[in-house]
Amino acid sequence: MGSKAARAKSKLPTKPSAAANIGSMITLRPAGERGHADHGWLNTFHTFSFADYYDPKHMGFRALRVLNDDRIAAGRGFGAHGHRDMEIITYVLEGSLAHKDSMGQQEVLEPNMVQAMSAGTGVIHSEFNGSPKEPVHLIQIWIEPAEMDVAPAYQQFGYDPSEKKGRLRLIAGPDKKTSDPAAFIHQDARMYASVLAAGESLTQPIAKGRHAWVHCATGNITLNGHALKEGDGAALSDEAALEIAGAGASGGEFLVFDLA
Amino acid sequence: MTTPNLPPINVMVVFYSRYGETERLALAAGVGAVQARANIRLRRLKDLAGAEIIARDPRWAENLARMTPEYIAPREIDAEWADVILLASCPDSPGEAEQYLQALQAKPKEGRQIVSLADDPADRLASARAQGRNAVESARKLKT
Repeated sequence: MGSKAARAKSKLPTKPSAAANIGSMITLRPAGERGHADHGWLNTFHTFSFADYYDPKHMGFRALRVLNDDRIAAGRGFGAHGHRDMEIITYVLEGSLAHKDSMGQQEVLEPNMVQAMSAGTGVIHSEFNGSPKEPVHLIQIWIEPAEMDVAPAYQQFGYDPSEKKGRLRLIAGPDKKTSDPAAFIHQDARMYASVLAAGESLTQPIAKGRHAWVHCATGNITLNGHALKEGDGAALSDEAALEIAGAGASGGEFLVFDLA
Repeated sequence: MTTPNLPPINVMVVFYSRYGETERLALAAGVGAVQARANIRLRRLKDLAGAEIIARDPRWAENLARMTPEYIAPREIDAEWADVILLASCPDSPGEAEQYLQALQAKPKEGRQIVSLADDPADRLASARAQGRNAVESARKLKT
């Protein structure tokens, strides 16, 4: 925990991310330590406790409650089920996802599109792979709302993939008016997506008292000197900034959460 | 977020639907149960009719193809899990729900409530939501 030698070592870009806790400010969540269930039709990794995976040490981070990395087989999916008081954001990496809900929405979601659902007083929805042939790879995020019993709402928008290249592209947040279209959520939390090519980097300040979660969705990145590969996550508290660079042969795609 | 400290209530919504109308009623009752902070499972009863009969009715066949991946049939463990079973019967074919109700009654579970949903033509979805909410609230009263 935080010796100078350990810190110096941890800044080597080749450092494996298997060590769970380096320093007091960045806590790594290695992909291989996540909860995992392979149901055949669904291969899912849970960064935080979810469904049959329960670990009291990993119940979420700040308002970020769930981060599931799901691969759903062609034509399969989650049948009708209910949600209440949760902001649910779905980020498709590959393939397509068909969504249907009790608010009357029937949509198909693809990469570079975002779906956000405020469950509020209660919704029932189903999510199925929209393709009869190809699997779908997606990340589903649950953020606890600051306010309960809000009216259920559904939002979906698309964006040009260039908007997340080399920069953080706002996906969801508490601001009703944003320069780029983004989903409104009932929480003081912002979710960004980004793609960095190998060697490309960005720096994002973290406001005092704020926290951040970084999830490497595909490929490889470095985060404040730590190497993250697909599925790895990291919690940051009391850090001044995120310094992220694309690593490996082709960089990586990642999500950043700015949390109260 | 503050979660109200309410005893958890498990609700299984069981329906039989051919064309989607009773499904809508069941979904509305399910939303009502979710609104009352219940855990829910939605289950569709299997058709008593054979595949040949269904194939002769394209609307039925089409809806069946849509509903099959969405809902599994109720299992014994679902009936065991449930504190409340909301049962929605299809007016075109009440046999499926009747048969299931008899099976439930043959194997009673203490404290479990079975509510047959009434289809109120005045405002069927709002009424189904209210029935879902009310069933959860009365089950909760019994638990507290």
